[in-house]
Amino acid sequence: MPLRLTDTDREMLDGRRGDGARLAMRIMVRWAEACDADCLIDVTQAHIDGCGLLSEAGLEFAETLARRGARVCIPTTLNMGPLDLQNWRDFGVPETFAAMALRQAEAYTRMGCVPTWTCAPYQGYLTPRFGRQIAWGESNAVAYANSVLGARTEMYGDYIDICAAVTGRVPRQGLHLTENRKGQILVRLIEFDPGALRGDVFWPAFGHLLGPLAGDRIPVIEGLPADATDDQLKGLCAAAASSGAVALFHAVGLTPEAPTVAEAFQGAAPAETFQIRPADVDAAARDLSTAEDGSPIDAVLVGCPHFSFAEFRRLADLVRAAGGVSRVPFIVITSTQSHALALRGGFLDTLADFGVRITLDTCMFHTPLLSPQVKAVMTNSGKCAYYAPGELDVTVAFGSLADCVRSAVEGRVWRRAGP
Amino acid sequence: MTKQRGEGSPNAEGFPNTEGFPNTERGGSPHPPRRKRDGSGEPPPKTQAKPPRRLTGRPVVPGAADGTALVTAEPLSFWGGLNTATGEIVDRRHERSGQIVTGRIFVLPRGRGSSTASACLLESIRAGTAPAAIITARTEPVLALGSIIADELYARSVPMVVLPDEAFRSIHDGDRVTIDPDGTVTVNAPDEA
Repeated sequence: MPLRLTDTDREMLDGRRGDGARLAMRIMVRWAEACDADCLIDVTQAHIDGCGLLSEAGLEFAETLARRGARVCIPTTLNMGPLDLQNWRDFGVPETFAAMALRQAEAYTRMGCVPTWTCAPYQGYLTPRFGRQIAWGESNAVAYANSVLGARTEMYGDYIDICAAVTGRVPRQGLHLTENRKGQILVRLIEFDPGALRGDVFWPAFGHLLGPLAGDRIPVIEGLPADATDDQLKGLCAAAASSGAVALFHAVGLTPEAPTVAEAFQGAAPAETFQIRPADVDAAARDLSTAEDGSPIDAVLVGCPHFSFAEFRRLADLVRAAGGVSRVPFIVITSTQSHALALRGGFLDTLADFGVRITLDTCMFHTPLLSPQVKAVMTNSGKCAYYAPGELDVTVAFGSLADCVRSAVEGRVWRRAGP
Repeated sequence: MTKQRGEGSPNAEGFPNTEGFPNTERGGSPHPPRRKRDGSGEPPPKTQAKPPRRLTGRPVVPGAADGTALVTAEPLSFWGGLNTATGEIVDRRHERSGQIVTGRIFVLPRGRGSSTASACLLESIRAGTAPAAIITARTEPVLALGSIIADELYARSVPMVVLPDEAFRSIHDGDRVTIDPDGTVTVNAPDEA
């Protein structure tokens, strides 16, 4: 199918809007052709994922765009980066790595991106609105934007994301189109105690189960509580986008495109229906752990995706009640925005006294954060638990935030029975 | 307990439907190929060496390449699955773990997982460890992107062709494969010595 271009598209392609825009549009057009799209559409904002990984080619691409004068033409936020821009020396990051990461950060900010450096952009600045066409990268953020906010994006990874931000255009396809957003399978939560659905183990565990169950189909979930918090939904999105490729789900009575089951399916019938019982979610929670109860841990990692103000407050409450200090490094990963709020909230001294170390802007999988002696970690994140064994070469225990605090005090995995 | 990434996914294994091609599966086509009465559809007479087979695909990233096929039936995530410095498949759960993709015609049904795969392919092209070409059974926008950016940045790309399922499955490990910019894939079985 030939790709139709507007006059503005052609101006960029011809270089009449600068060399940087020309390079971005050339890539966008060739990619749209590879995807067999018929035309490009406008997007109103972008979130850049490609600033997170550090590779020579990635750095060269960003610097080439910036040097040729590329500037974003829509509000554009940045995902977490490969470096804690403030505290990297405290974490022992090698100078050569830091130097490359700082050059990459400079290239993206020079192109006009807002230096948010967070993988939870929906909890900070420039949260997208319902129905808006956007170009977001970062799998958990894409799932959250589509599902919870009802904005419309495909998964824009490295490095089409910055091309979308510079051109303001993406191929007309996929989840940008209403007909491609209808539910395809029905997932019913049955026999759950309302208390279990409010616990913080349920959400990542259910997400871990949902990923492979959905495959590339859009799930409609029945039975999630309507008062779910942003952080619970964040945990669900991150886990489902890690164990699977969930970029959009509907939750009946909870997410904006699913006031009813019929509306979530746009009047169509589900291709398949699944019944999920508490035992299924318990099994998913167990599957997220490779470390046994009682085994020693060397670190606790929370804030995957980035810790929010509400999570800081909850952690402060938990450590006050813990009756001890952490025996292991207790690392909280967050954004400068949430960190500023936590500082104003007066939580940081309490957390420091417990032994919490806070790192900003980055991700445990993209910056050298842990010492090589760390062999076992505990986390409350389904995403972290999923990737840690392969990416960090550690065993992992998954539990609630309260379990993480208690385990830190004991120096070994401690989990309250049941989800 | 050990986690098995990707397993349990209904789409993690096997061959997905091919996009953009008429269904050539058995029973799927309204006109299944039949031998013609005049014999013109008869298989060619057997000779010592098998004649090359020509397959028609869609050139997702057009280009020319030739090399020896490295074939897998299993999808691979390039992020975490490919060492961009050495070209080695390092996903230790993958059936071709330990193989080197560099310079090969890499035949895999599709990619998997993270969109960071485009960055990994780009980096492997920069480092000179990339496959000579990639043949898939469905369009892989994430991989195509890595190749397109490499072309723009380094004037070096990895040609990419999508083949219909049946043609895709007809390529075997070790076949000599030539790819033309129009998407034609020519396959020579290795000489039987």
